Amino acid sequence: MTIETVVEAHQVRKSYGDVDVLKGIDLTVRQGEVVLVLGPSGGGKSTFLRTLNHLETPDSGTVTICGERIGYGEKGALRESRIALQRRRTGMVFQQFNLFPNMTALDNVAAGPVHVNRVPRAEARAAAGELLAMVGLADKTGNYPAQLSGGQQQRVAIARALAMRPQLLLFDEPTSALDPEMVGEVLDVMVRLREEGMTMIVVSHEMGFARAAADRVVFISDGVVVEDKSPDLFFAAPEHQRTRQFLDRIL
Amino acid sequence: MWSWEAFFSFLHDPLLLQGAWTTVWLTAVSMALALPLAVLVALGRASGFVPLRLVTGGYVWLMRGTPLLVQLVIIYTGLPQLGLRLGVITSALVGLVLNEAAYLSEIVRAGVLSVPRGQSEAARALGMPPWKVFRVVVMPQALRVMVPPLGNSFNGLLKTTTLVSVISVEELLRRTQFAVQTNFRVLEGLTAAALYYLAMTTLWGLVQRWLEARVGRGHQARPSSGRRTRNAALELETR
Repeated sequence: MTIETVVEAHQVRKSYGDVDVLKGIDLTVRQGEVVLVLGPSGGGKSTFLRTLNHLETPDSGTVTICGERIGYGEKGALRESRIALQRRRTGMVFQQFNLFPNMTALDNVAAGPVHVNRVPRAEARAAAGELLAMVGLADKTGNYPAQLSGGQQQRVAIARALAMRPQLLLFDEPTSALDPEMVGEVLDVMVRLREEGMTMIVVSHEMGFARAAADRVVFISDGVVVEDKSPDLFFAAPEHQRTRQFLDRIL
Repeated sequence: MWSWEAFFSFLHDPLLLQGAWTTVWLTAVSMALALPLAVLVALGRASGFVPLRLVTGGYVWLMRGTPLLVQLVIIYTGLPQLGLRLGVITSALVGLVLNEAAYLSEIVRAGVLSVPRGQSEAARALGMPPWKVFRVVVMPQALRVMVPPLGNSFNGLLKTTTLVSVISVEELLRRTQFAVQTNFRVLEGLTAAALYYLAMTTLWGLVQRWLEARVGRGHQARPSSGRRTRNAALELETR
């Protein structure tokens, strides 16, 4: 096998009380692949994304990232402090950005390396400055999140995730909270990451991004994967009734 | 009849000055010891471990449900019956710290709950272990909410220390009572003491304002002009 498997999710299940949110989801993502996860709201796509770094603990099933089973070691379930170590490989970008409001953009980006990897602060800040330049925010390093637009905040959040040099980036509706004119600047950064070979799983309704940058579209509805194919095939020839209904509503 | 002469002599009576100093350090030390204890109690009450939750909850219930005056007398005068004999200052500190920590733990709890869940999730997603999530991300933001009520508590504690005069700690009030006994100028003596308290709480008010500005960094931030951005960048380089 020449192409490495980054994500291997097998029969992931999760329920809240009587509600089965995930009913056994399988997903395999190879290195450098960009997977767009689509589906109706409440269908379980965000919950599934969050099980990949154990922000949600699945009730059953396995998640393996770069060959390491998440949440479990040789002696069974891991403690949160050990799961934290596993999460360093996975970056996550949230719908509401979740930047730390009491830190400047630069310190937000440096936070992971400084507090998780114990990189000296000066060194981490220098690297953070380069990352902010890469997302087009070289002149905003000293700004606090409240002084930045939504699009700028989300680009800082992407830089913050990149600072940990992750093998995988998870995006949970990264453009849903943005004003329409700011969506482009965030998608541009994501397209550029794809060109650099970053493995990404993106929960989003951005059809433009799906066509331009996704290698596969995975359609999740009612807690199961309904379709998993290339964007061209997905949009041209959806096999299932549920997929067609969904596409009719959003296109 | 009011005597200005007696009033001014009380104002710079070394007896009162020393008493005021005792009041200040008693307050500061009590607060400094009560705050970490309050954080532990707040964590205990939020814990998933039920016995710990019951013990810390019971402690807060007991301390807030009984008067400090009664607690102080029990500690100083009552406990020796069980063979536990504490000095005057130790008794006062134990009483003040235990009592204050119970109230402060509620402030800490409210502060921690005020931090949006997304903040700790973002920290966890970066790979921070639980105690780092708490110390680096949650606590600094909780502090912003906590500082005004904490300052209020400090102000209150400055005056609550008058209660320890009952177990014969020579703080400002007890010293004033001593001083008054020499000439029976009660009004002048206690007015002087009241002025001391007023001076202490006023000074504290200034400190509190400075603290609030410090922990509020990033929150009052407004979208900046180009000039302000450049200043911020400069500041960063010189740091």
